[in-house]
Amino acid sequence: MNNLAFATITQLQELLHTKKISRKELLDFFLKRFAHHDPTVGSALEVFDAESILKTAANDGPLSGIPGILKDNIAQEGRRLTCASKILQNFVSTFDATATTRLKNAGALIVGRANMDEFAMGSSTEYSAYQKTCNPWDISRVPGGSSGGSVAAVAAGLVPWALGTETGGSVRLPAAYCGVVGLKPTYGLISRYGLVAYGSSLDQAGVVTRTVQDNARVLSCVAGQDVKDSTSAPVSPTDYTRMLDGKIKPGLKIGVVENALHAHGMDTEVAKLVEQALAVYTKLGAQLVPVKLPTLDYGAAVYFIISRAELASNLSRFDGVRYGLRDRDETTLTGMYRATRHDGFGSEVKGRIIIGNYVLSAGHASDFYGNACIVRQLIRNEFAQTFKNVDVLVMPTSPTPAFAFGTFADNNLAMDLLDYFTCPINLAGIPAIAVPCGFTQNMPIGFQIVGPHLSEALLYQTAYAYEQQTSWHTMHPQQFA
Amino acid sequence: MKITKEELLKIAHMSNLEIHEQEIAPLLKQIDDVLGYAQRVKDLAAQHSDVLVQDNDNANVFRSDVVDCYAVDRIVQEFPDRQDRFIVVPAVLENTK
Repeated sequence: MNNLAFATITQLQELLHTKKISRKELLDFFLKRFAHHDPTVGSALEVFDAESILKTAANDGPLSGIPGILKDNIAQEGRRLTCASKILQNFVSTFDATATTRLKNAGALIVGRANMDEFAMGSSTEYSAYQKTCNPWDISRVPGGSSGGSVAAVAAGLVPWALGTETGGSVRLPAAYCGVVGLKPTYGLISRYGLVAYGSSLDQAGVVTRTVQDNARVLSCVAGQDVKDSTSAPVSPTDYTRMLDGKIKPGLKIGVVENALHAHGMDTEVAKLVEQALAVYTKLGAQLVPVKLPTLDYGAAVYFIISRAELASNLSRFDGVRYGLRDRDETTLTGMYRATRHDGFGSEVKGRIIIGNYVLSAGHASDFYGNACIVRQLIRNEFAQTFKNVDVLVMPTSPTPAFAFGTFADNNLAMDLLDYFTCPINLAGIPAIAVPCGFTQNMPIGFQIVGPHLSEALLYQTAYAYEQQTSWHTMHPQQFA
Repeated sequence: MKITKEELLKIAHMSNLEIHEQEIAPLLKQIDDVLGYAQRVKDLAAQHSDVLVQDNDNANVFRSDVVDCYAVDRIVQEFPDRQDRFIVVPAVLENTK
């Protein structure tokens, strides 16, 4: 029965429809896998009991009976919502995020809460206040972050799908590190209602699966406008699987981002694998067009400023007054605020809050925040201009494969710069999908396909055509097979 | 780019964050590294000061001014300290006696 572990959503649904397995049996199978393997992987902060999982899901729907997991910054009514932070240790959400509601209405079985970097701030999931999550391909290495729990669970065959969230690459980076498919949709495509805010102008939930088709299936259930999120895009529910026929769009023009492929610090093996992926597209009939994105080199700097400015404001709500942790020793209100936030936040989060308030402070706001907004606009303009000449862009997701735990313990900046290829996409608000494209050092590698606003259907079509020509998606970590 | 210990503590105070002595050195390094790198936006922005910044293309969204029906009892349950349906907080003013 172990082949169920790495079955696609389509295959699992076939088994359910033909009554070869019941919803309860399938759920029990995956819960047993969590019990057996998750002490090693560490993907989940909590796995719920079968009865309560089944109770929350609709009986019928496009994801009926299919188990999945949500990153622990996406609200689930009646469940704890910690963002992997001590400051929300015992907080129980009083409502469902819109994405959660839509998944439940689609019949999906949400089995738990996935580990993450505290408040989604990190690239390795090492900043979780609770536990470490391992890369299923090599448990001495990180899964990437910040959605490391969501991605590791999918890669280890503990669930066929998961939701993560992105602010600067937190779905695509771990997806590349763990050899799975990760989509960062257009800003606003998935409602942010019930998603704990980090950088509000950048945040977006993302979908993690092992295949492109599964990814499109899950997105089809959660995407679309929501009156509860005023920044949600005016898009009606769409079937994103409709263009998956294994062919590329006729006359597809792919922009090959040359300054990404030859960027400083780029692993030559990784660059070679991305070039091999491009060769597959040539074989499929695509036209490759070399392009340069000079502003790419400023993306991380802009991202550091804007994300920290926004998080400093968003995290001011955690003060010990209305929910979460409260310091009991201080006798004044401000003393309580300060002590609660000191004890509740980890050091990375504290550093980012201070940076955020620094770049917004009277003496520095125009130098940092003001200038970052200007350069962000240049990045947006450059992407918009580039998409006048090409349909999609192809670039690496990460310059290197997953690294060993502790590699960047003394160099946070180097870890932050792992978002170099991913965060410009968030700054522009456009979609991108990370797709596995091979192995180096026995670790998976991914490339990303980037498109203009609301081009998810085209990204899926393009990614699926590649996937059907390769076998990377059929490879799974031996230890969990 | 060097942030001083005094600046760090001032910003931390504004951020309602207590900082302990042993945390200062690693925080200074973290902040210096990030701000040092982030400075590169200045030169590029200076060359493009006329660019029109439009943070996003979204139009304003209106909705009726109606209170949604939240699960008030459960929200009250989450208060760290409460009396009936009210939040209890420590004294706002310090007792200097």
